[in-house]
Amino acid sequence: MTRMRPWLIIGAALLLAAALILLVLREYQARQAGTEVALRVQQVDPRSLLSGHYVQLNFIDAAPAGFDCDGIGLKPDQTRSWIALRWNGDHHVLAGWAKTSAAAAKLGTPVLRGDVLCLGSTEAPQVEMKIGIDRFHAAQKEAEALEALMRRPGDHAVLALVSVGQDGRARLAGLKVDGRETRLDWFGR
Amino acid sequence: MAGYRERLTADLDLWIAAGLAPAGNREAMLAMVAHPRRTDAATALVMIGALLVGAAIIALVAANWDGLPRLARFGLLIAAFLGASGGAALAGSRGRLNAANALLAVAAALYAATIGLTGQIFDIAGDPKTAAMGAGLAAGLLSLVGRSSGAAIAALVLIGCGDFAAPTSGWLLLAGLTAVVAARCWRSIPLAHGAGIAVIVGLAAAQMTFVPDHGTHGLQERALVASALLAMAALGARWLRGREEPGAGVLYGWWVWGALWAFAAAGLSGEDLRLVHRSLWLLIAGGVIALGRHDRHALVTAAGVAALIGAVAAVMFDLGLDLVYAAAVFGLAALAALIAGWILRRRSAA
Repeated sequence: MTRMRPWLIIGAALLLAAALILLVLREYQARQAGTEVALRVQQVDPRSLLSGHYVQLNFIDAAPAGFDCDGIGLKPDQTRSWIALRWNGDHHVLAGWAKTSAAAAKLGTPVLRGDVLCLGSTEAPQVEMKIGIDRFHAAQKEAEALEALMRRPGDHAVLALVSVGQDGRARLAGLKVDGRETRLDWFGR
Repeated sequence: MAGYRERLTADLDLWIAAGLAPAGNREAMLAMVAHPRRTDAATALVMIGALLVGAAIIALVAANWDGLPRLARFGLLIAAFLGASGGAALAGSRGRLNAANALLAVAAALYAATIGLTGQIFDIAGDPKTAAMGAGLAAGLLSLVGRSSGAAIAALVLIGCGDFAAPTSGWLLLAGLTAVVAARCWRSIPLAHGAGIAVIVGLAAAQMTFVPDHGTHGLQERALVASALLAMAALGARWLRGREEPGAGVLYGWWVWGALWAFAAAGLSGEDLRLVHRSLWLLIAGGVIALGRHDRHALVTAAGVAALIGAVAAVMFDLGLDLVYAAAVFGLAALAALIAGWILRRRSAA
């Protein structure tokens, strides 16, 4: 090995580590700078053998009145569209979708990138928002506590706290179950 | 199995006894061949101890992983990656090239794991394809700066995983061809093995990506084209092997395997030309066995034997109980092999 090579290895390793640290910092910064919304979550499965402990997040809610949901499934022209949200008392709901952010902003704010999937029956249609977030990783005890909380009888409000960036990308900021918040921060577990 | 020194000693004694070499040169000639390195008990115990310490640290961290804050978990991963890379640099500077190579492979694997775990720790939603490709590029960079065949093989595996994550892409073929060049320049046999396999798998991924799918016939055509391309590449590698290019023999072996595998895949579905395909398969398998024996290349001979077994099994499966039909196919193949052998024997006698 030449004299230069060990230094090249160290240089490359530092460059790669710096790239990863920069990625985490930028994501954190974007999460902090974004507009926070609270979205209702249905169905949870707190554990996965392969991926560790996490809460599965499905953003399913009743379709808004007058929403174009005449068929079940994702329509081809809905892919990679913009979703408009509106505040509905204690959480945000779908206001509509459009091909451009400007068109979506006319339906409601904030707007974020994603697709809308129609579910259920035509009499009682539901919509699932696909916004690029599908799980919340948690420590084993935290995941088990969340599971116990949600398995209790009664209707539980499970909300995902999502930060919507200037770029329209949704980033998970935390989870709120029956008023109890679990936030993603540097020193949390 | 006797080492090179033992075999040379035995041969040398034979040559001296036959009067081909002077007895006075025996010791001087043997002194030029180094004794094989042996690991003594103390070194072996130190190695086992080091492995156990590593296992204990991993178990301790795993037991407390959930209890660690996110920042500490991320810091541990970065520290492990930098530690492996730093260890590789240190080993390289002290001339321990094998240790440097192994540590760079570990660093490449740790970086890939760090990308995945960082997404999990900070709940950063990411694309699995981009993550695998990013980890592959990082491993490629480490392999280039450290001239590490281990990290290069890790890069091929990661880029391959990225290629097959939807939507498929054809980067593995490019990476495999780059690895072929690197294996030649670095005179690395392990990397030649990795590159040979990567080109075969990469070709399949590239075909899936760039060649439009037209159903069963399209699949057969793609497999036949892949078989022809790999056969040509194998012939090129065979020619380079004759010129004693490093790693060419390994590539020759793998690409013969790939060409035969692709040829077999071309006839596994559909009814058209099945008899022609099976007959050709038998003939090619026989030819490859003969070629492998002629070139004294175990990997090529093994490919021919495997293809022959596959072809016989396929014919039996196709024909069911129609043993007369099976006998005709085997008889024709045997006749062709006998005629070819007779012609070759006559040519060599002349």
